[in-house]
Amino acid sequence: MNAAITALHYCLPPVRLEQEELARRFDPKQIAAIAKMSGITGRRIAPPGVTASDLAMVAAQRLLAARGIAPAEIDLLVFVSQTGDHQIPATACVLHGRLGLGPHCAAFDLGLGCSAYPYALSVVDGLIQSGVAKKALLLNADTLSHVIDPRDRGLVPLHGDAAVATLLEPATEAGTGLLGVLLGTDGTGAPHLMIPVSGARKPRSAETKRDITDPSGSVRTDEHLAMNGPAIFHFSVYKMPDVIREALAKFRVTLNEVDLIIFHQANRTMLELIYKALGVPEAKRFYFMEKIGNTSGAATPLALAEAVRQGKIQPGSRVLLASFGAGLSWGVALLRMPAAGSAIVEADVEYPA
Amino acid sequence: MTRLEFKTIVGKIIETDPARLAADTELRKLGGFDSLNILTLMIELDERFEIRLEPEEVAALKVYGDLERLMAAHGAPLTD
Repeated sequence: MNAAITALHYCLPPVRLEQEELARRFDPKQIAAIAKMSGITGRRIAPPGVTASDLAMVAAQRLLAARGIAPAEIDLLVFVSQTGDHQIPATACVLHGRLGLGPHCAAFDLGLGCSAYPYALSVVDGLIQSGVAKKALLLNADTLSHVIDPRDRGLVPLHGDAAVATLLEPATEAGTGLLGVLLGTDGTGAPHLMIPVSGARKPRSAETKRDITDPSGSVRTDEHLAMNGPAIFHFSVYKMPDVIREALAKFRVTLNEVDLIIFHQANRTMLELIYKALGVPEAKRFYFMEKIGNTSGAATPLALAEAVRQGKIQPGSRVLLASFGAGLSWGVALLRMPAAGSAIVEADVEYPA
Repeated sequence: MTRLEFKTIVGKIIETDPARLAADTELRKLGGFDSLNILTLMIELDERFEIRLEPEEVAALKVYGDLERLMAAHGAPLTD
């Protein structure tokens, strides 16, 4: 059987980075303009020492506790992030130990950013369909605030940190679960969203710590995330509508047959342009970024989880997910929630003090 | 569209007096020609003129006159 999402839960870090603080750090007029365009007026930030995996662990523990699932029942753990704990070993293995999972549980990382969720769903679905797993825990988490230069006026106002836990199990009803996936990549665009010095290609040095100031006065170093805004905008707004149309054709479904269309929560204006290009009515649009920011690879499942919590997604709802970003990479997934039972997890979403 | 109307649109987006926009005005020396306003300009040109600027075209913008040349290249030449 294909995989179905049976529970979703998320965890937000404790620090609130508000407009007032940004207006002190940067030009208040520019900060107001960024908020107007992005629709982001607050961010949740992980303090130093709290990692993406810490947030993921809390989300996972609460999900398991709320559902009465013993750690030993989990037979697959996939941690999806671009801000893992260590280069070696896989953060999933560390989490496996911290969560007290059993020896027959597979654990590995997937390294993708904003586009990650459809990829991860597809991988977990394959492992469930092949019989490797029956109860899979998918953890999408990122703490981009730790890799963005705090002086970067372009990126700081847009991004936050978060983690989402998704429980996937074999679908018990025909026509539910993950119904279709379309994945794609344009690797020629890799430099457009990159931390230039962050791995084996270029070692850290005194030179890589040098400040780079753009004409507007925004500052970063090559050891921090850098984004070519016009290139990412162009890719998102002009490429994604075509990709989504291609996916709908592949899945043999129309927008009329989908209850909610959720995108990677990058920037409200960009999402509105994509929705408009596709002719998606207001009632089928969903945004969850205003007070939390763009949370990278966690953003799509975070919006999905919140839509479930708000009741916008009900048992039996059909949902189209489209995620896109660093790589350049994209994925579209069509899923139908199980008709029996809600994916809501009744638990706190705040990181414990 | 007239040159003056276009300068008014651009000036509003990049927060610059349209009278300062001469053919050889260096855009990056204008405080408002930053990454955010460049995106706003891309959106505005798309919505008003259905002109989709390529990232390479945006990166190559040096002086205001380049913008007018882009308009012409995309089939929307400005008039006096």
